[in-house]
Amino acid sequence: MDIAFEHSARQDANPDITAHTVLVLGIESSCDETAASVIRLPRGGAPEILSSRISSQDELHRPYGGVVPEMAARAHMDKIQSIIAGAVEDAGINYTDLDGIAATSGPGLIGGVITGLMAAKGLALSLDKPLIAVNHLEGHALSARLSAPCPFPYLLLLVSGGHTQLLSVNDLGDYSRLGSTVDDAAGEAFDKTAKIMGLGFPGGPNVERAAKAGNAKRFKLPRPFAGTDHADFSFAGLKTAAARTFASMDNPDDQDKADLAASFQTAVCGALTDRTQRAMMMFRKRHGDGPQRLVVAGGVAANVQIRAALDTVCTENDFVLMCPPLKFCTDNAAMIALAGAEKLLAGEIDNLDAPARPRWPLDETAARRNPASGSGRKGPKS
Amino acid sequence: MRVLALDTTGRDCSAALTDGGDVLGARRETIGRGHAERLGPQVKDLLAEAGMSVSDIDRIAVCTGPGSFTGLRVALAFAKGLALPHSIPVLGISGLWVRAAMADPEGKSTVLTAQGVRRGEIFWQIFKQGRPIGKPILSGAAQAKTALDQNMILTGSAAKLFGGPDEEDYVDPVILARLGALARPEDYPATPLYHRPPDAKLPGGISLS
Repeated sequence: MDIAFEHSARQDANPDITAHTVLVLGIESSCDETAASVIRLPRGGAPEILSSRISSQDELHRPYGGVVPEMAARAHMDKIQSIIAGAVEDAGINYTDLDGIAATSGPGLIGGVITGLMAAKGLALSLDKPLIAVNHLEGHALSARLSAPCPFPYLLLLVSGGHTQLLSVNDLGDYSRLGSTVDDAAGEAFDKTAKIMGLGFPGGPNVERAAKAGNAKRFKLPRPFAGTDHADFSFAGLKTAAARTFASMDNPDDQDKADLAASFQTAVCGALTDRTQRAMMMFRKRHGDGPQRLVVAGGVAANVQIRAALDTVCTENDFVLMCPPLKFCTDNAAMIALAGAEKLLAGEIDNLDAPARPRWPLDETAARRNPASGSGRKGPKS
Repeated sequence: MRVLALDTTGRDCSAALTDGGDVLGARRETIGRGHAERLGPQVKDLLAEAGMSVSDIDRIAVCTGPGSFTGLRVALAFAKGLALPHSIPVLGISGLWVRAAMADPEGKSTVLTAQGVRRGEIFWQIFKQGRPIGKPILSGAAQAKTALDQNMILTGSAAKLFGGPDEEDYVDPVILARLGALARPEDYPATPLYHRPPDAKLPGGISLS
């Protein structure tokens, strides 16, 4: 057992586990959005989102073609207080009405995570209310439940700039990882491919826009892991193949770029649907035949072609596709508040020594057994 | 005036609670890393020992740097969270000023504080009669030396580079609290003191710095 495990053990605090309804402030700062939200959650009921403020750093990182960690951390520091104050004001509540303070404590960029988590610790001490350290991935796993009834279990495809995973969401706090990327996240591959072609940041929408006028069949790009009997992803080779293709063209014009964007997008789409189909089979082994649900979260879920392809896969496999509204698909604090509120109702709270964890797999045991993304000396990343 | 002072800019994680001239409690833990885990429990203990709650604090003084960028944000973000529900003013005081006040407690002299900030550079500033003059400067030791005259007290971790004492890197939270009590919040906002811009290169290799 390592230090992180010991630190995350639930300790001496004594929340009211008979409460009917909790009012929770959530804080998110693990990548390039500073966000805060207040939600009310009745036990066993639907959450009511009282406020959700978000400050995006897209403009800041755009010239660099990707998120610059120290610039992100500085922007979080600048915004954190006004975003929290704004969320509380919008909710029309007083700080003392809150039952708990939830914050993303990982995985993510450490400078941002620490900023949001420390502000949450300050609030928790100031108000003498429990702190709830939330795994960012658990927030995404539950995000579909913010806007519609979505009973457990369901299959989750999380595709964003930082993560690409397939999870079986069995119950609250019970998640099994069926697959994850062994290198880049899908959104990261979009960003890097866009950067190579000079299409700008964030890459997802820009590649998608360019792809509209393109011929997806012009360039043959690899489909990593296609047909293999696991549900892991790999995007680094695909990204490199796209870069080489682009480099091999003399003075590529807009049509060349459009064709490469379309070919790349189709390859990502193929990888996502192939791996998701594999995960559906794994999910069925555990949860049985009959209609099931696939929830798609993360910024890449905004891509129309990917959404349509996943819809087809769902129809073919007797799954219902659930895409939360985009504002809850991408990083937001309402999902952190929801995960925090669920934990609070279950009596799971944290002390002020809760660590910020740049690496924190949602399914820790499975990740250790079968490390995938960025695993190394310090253990699996996510 | 009850002041809570916090410093997480260097190896230390430290805090002090003062009321006028009285020190109600002070903590210094030289931990090197893990400030984000230690600071909350440290302040909680400090308040409990003094029999106080956060709402009893009149002012929070935070050391804004120079130091570890991630480290200095630990105390700043924590202070902003503490302050919000009770609208407590938060002041940002630089470690350079704290060092100057440690070397010249009466505020009667002129002090040059020079802190080593790696890459062969130092971050330095002059203080006269206990007040900062101008803005801190990032430079090599040679440039700082030109600003030095014989009557100045020389202090800081880089002082030894031009004939000053070999001092340990230490920001005294009690002195930080004292400066925080004397300064006007509007003059010293709680914003980070970064000694250099982020390491980020634009496509084409153009750097911000």
